[in-house]
Amino acid sequence: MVIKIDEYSDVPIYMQIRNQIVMGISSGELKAGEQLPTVRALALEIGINTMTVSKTYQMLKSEGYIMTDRKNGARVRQQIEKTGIISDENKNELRRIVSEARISGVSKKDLQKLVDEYYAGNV
Amino acid sequence: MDLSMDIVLLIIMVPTLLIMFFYEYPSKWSERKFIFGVRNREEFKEEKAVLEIDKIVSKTRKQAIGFMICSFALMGLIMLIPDEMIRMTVLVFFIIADLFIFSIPFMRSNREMKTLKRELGIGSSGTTYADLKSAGTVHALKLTSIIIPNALTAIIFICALIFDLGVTGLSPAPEMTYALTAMTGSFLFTGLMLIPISIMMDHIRNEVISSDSDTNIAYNRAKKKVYADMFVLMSWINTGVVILYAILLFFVNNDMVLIIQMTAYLLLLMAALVILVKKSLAIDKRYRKETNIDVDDDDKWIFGAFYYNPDDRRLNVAKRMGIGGTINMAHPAGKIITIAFAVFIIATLAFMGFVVSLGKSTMKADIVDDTLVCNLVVDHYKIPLSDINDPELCEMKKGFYLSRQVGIGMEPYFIGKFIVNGEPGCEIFLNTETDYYVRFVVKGKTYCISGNSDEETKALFEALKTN
Repeated sequence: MVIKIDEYSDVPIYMQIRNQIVMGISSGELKAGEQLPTVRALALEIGINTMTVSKTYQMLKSEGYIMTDRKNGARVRQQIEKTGIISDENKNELRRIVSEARISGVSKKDLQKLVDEYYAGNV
Repeated sequence: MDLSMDIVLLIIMVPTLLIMFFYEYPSKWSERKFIFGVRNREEFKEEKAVLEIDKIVSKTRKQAIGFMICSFALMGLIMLIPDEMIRMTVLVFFIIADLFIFSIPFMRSNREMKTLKRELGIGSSGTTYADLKSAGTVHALKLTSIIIPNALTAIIFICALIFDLGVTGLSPAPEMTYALTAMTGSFLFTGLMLIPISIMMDHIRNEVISSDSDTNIAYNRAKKKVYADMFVLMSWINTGVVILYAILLFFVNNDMVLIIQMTAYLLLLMAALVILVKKSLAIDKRYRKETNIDVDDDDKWIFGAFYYNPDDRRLNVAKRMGIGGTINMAHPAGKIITIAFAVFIIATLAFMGFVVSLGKSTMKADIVDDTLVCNLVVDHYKIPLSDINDPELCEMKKGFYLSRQVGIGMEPYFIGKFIVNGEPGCEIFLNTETDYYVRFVVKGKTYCISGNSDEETKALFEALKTN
C-alpha cells in the first residue's frame, strides 16, 4: 500500500499517516494480520522523525486498529472491534463535509452515492 | 621525458569523460528516468514539451561534445610541458577542474528543464510517497560476498607484514622494505571503507514509482542489486590488483609494477562502471513503462547534482548525476561532510602548490647563530651545534636506500623520518642527486643531512667538525 504525505497540508503528518492506514484497512489494501513497517523503516522512507511515526502507531494501537509487540513489530489487528458507533469527532467531521457539500451545491443523492462507494471500499 | 604517469592519468580521463558523456548527455531522453537531473514525467510526452526538450538536449549535447574535445586537446597540450613536476601538477589541477567543467552543460540544462516545467504548469512539490510493503524490507547485498574479498586482502596484508618483518627468514630486497605491506594495507583500507558504504546504499530509501507495491519492491530490489554488485565487484578488483602486485613484485621493478598495477586497476574499475551503468539504465528503461507515480522533488536538487532538503531527515539518497549515492547537504551530518570534502579539496590543491614550491626551491643546510638550520621553503630542522657530536661524512654508495616512514619523498629531495640502509627512525634532509651526506646522532636520534651540492655538504661537515 502506498501512502502519500503532503508536506504543505494543514493536517499533521502523523495524522495523515494514521488516516491513510485506516483507509487502507477499511478498503482491504491492508489485510488483517498484515505486517506494518518498523517505526524506523517508515520514518526513513518518508524522511521524517521516528517520533512522528511512533506517535501514529501509538494512536492506531489505542484506537484498536493495530497491535504492537517487541518481537513482531506492528501488525493490523485480526479482529477490529465493531462497536457500531460513530465517534463524536467523526460526527463533527462528517457534519463539516456535508455542510461544505451543501454550500457547494452537491446534491444529497450525489453525496450518498459517494458515501456508498466509499463504504463499499471502492476508494 | 617520462610520460608514464601522464599516460596513466590519460587512461583514467578518456573513459571517464566518455562514460560521463553517454550517461549524462543521452540523445534518447524519453527512455531515461531523469533528464539533466529533472524527473522525466508523463507531461513531457506532450508535443510542445517534446519539442522543447529536444532543443535543450540537442544544444546541451553539442556543448558537452565541445567541452570533451577541448579537454582532450588541452590534456595533449599539457603533456608537452617539459618540466615533469609542473606538468603533473597542471594535469592534476586540470583533471579536478575538468570533471567540474564537464558538468556545466548538465547544470545549465537542469535550470532550463526546471523553467520548462514551470512554463508547462507542472508542480506538485512537497508530496512524499512511501510504500508500506517495501519499507525496510528490500535489500540486495549479501554481506558475505563483500567480506570474502576483503578477508582475502587482509590475509595477503598479514602475509606481507610477516614477510617484511623477516619472520619467515626470507628478507625482502632493502629498497622494497614494507612496499608490499604499504600497498596491501592501503588497498585493504579502501576495501574496508567499501563495506559501510555498501551497507548504507543497501539501506537507502526505496523509491515509489507505482501504486502497485510489488512493482515498487521489484524495482528497488533491482536498483539495489546494481549498487550491491558495484561494491562487490570493486572489492574483488581491489583484491585482484593486490594479488597481481604481490606476484609482479618478485619479477619486475617496483616502479614498473606500480604503473602496471594502477593501469590494470583503473581499467578494471572503468569496465565495471560501464557494465553497471548499462545495467542501471536498462532497469530505468524497463520500469519506465510501469511508472505511474511522479514524485516532484526536482527543486530540492541544486543544479540537478546536489541534494539540499531541510525537510528530509535522510542523510544519503540515490544520485541524479552519476551512479551511486550522495548526501543530503541540509542534514547536520551532511553539512559536516560537505565542509570536510571542500576542505579536503582545498587542502589537496594547496598541498600540491606546496609540493611544486618545494621542487622549485633550493635545499639549504646552514649554520645560523650556533644552530644547524635545514631549510627547504620552511625550516625543517633546527639543531643546536652544542648537541651535535662526532659528525661523519658518509657516501651515498651503490646500494644506499631510503624507505619513508613519515615525511616528504620527492626526487631528489627526501625530508622526514626514513629507514636509511635498514636503520629505522632516521631524521633525514637529503638531496639524493649529491654523493655525500653528514651523519650524526643527537639525543639518540640519527640525522642524515646533505646540502644542495657535494661542496656544500663537505663545507657543512667541516664546520660541524670544527664546532
